[in-house]
Amino acid sequence: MNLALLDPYRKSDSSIHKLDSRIKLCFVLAFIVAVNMTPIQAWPAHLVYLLGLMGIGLMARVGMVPFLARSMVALPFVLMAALGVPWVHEGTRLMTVRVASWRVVITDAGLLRFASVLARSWLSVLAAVTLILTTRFVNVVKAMRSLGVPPVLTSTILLAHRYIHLLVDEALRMMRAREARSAEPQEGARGKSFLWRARVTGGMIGALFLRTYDRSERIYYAMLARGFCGEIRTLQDSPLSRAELTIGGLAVAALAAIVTLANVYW
Amino acid sequence: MSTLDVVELHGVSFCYPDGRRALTDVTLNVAAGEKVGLVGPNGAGKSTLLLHLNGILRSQGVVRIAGHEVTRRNLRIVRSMVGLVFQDPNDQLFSPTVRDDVAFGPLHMGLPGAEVLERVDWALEQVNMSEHGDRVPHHLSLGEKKRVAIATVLSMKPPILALDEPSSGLDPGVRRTVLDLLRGLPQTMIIASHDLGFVQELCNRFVVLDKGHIVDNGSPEKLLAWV
Repeated sequence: MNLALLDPYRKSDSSIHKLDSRIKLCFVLAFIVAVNMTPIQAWPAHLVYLLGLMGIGLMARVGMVPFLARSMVALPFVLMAALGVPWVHEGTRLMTVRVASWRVVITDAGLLRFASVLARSWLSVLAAVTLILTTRFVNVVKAMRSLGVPPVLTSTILLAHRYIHLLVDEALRMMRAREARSAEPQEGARGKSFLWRARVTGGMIGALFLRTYDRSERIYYAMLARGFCGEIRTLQDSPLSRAELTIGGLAVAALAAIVTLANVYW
Repeated sequence: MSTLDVVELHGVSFCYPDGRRALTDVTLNVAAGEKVGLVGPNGAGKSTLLLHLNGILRSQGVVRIAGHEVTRRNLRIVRSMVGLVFQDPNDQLFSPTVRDDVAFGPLHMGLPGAEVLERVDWALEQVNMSEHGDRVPHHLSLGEKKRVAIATVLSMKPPILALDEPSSGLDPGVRRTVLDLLRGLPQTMIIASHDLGFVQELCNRFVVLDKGHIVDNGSPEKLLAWV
């Protein structure tokens, strides 16, 4: 089954793909901080951010379509949050909208703030998309672990990622088995009621839960059998090379320079 | 009971929490270097017996591994001596990558980092999977998963291997690969299987388990008589 949504990583041997995931994660975090520290009037800075990310996307050869399409995923949520912004800020009145018995006043400062929230969110999501398209999910989580995220959390994420594929496969197999036996005896015969179908689906969900529960027990046995006794131990990450550290340092320094310039000139 | 017996079970009985009786008064000795086939119908208690070998299930009776009685105090020693390979490799391979999974055992034995890496490379080489260390388990074929599952216990260098249905679900070619791999390993083995051809080629002794009782214990000829 195509689980592209769960595994967005695009295989390639570009230099961006090869760069250590810790450097990439740090850069993305720094990028998000930088974008949100840049005043909205400094639109050339935002353009530089966008072009920078697109440049990285091109270098990584991930294809502009998946790159931009994936960045739209978070847009509805951002819009929901940002919709309230245009009329809660004082400023020059631009227009008044009637919503039922309310009069909503939209101001220039409010509209600017709205655009700023949208632009910053979109750029932040785009940076995260760049990371997940060029870094295997496993490596992103391992990078989180080496940056100090508690092992209990990272191990839980990794286990969930490992077994979600099996769970989806199992659910699909069950649905296929149901389809295979969902026949109508003759023309004109009616299938069972909606309630009956809902009950079947409920039963399937229950069965899936029980199977998952059984599997979790077997996995725990497998861990115990190999000496697990409550403490999670993992392989140590290889040390970062000087070149990788330099690249990371330069990238973060460039971000700091843009933020400083943007704050000074605008 | 000879001093060479590395696995000794004496009067082992086990009931599941729902009251189902899985093993009744099982007594079995396995000498060092022996390869013992554990056969019997579905639900005979084969997997339950294997889970007793490193103390995951414990109940009445005595289980001794290389002279160490399986008790709460000895669990860590016993688990480092018995490599248990589960029937479904998806249960066995729970780590994000093949390399992480093969390293799990040695890491939890408390070995130093350099030795862990050395053992991971060695174990992957034993099962011909050296090239695949960075792959994620859900992208492996069933045959590859079975081989990696064996590597995950080989990296602990246990003197005893307990394998549950190592050939189930494999096509004849891959089955042959797994068979040759196991035949080449020096460990004492207890292999639970329905694949009589597989155990016949691999084992020099058979134990027939039925409804939790050992009903036969002997040579391949006896096994054929049982079938």
